[in-house]
Amino acid sequence: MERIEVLPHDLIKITVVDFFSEQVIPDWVVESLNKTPLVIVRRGHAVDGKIPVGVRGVKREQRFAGYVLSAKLHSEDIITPHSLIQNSWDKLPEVRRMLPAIAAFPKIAPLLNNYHWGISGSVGFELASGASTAKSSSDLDLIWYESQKLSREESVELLNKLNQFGVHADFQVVHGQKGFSLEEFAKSTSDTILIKTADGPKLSNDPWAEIEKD
Amino acid sequence: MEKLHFSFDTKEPIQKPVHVGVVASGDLEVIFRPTTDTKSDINIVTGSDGFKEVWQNVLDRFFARYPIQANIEINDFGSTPGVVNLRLTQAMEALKDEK
Repeated sequence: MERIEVLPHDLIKITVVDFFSEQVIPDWVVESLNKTPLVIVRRGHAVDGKIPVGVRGVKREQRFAGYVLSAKLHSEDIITPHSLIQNSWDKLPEVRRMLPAIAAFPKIAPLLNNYHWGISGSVGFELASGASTAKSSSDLDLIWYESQKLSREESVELLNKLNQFGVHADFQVVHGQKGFSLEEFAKSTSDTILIKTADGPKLSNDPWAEIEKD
Repeated sequence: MEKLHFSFDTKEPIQKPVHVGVVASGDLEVIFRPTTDTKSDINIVTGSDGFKEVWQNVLDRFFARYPIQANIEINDFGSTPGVVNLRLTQAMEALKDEK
C-alpha cells in the first residue's frame, strides 16, 4: 500500500462520505463539502491512521474539525501549499485577482525565489479549489519550509519587503509539524516565541533550534 | 466578530505596558496597560463568536493565579484556549522581565 505523508496546511481532495468527526456534523459542513470537497490538514498526530483535518465554511468563524483515514488517500489528491505557487493564479477570474491578498501574490512570489515556500489560508484554498474563499480583508498566509536561520535584522527586512503591497503577509516558518511566526520573531519584546507543535503550543527561547527537534 | 468585556477586582497594579502575540490566523495579540482604576478591565475582540464562557474560564483561572491590575486588550484571530493561555503566560514573563 502507498504510504502518504501529509503536513499541516496541505489540502486533501476527498469524497464527502470519507470525512468523519467525533462531533455531530453541522449542515453547513455538509453543504460546504458538497460544493468544495477539499479539507485542510490540521496540526496533530495521526492516531490509528486518522489524519486530523478541518473544513472551511463561508464565514470566517466557520471551521470544523474532523478526520479522514490515511488508507483512503491517494497522492494525487494532496495539494501542498508549495504546489500552489505554480500556475494557479492565472486560472482565477479577473475580478478575484483584484482582491488585495490575491493581487499581492504575483508581486510577492519573485521576492521568495530563494525560499522553499507555499501559500495557505483563504488564498491558498481559493487557488486550489477556485471557490471564492478570500475576502477583501484577508491576509496572505505564507508558509516557509525552513532551511536556514534568519537573524532578526534579516527577518525584519524580509517582512518589510513582503508587506509593501497593501496586504498583511503572515509568514510562518515551519519544519515538519512545528511552526512559528516570523513576525513574532522579528518584533518580539518577549524572551520567548510561541511554537505550534503536534502536541499543542509551547514557548521557546530559540525557535529555530526548537522546530528542528524531533 | 464579537466584542466581549470582563472585569475583575484586583490589587497588584502593573508598572509598564506589555504587548505579546501576533495578528495571524489561530493566534492573538495580548496588550497589558497600567491603569489607575482599582479593577482590571478586559476588552476582547474575537473572530470566533460564541465563546464567552470559554474566555470567562480562561480569565477566571488567570486572575486567580495573577491578580494583576491592568487594562487588558485582546485581539483574537481564532486561537485555541491553549494558545490563549500561553500568550497570557508570555505576557506575565514580559512583565516580570527587568530589561
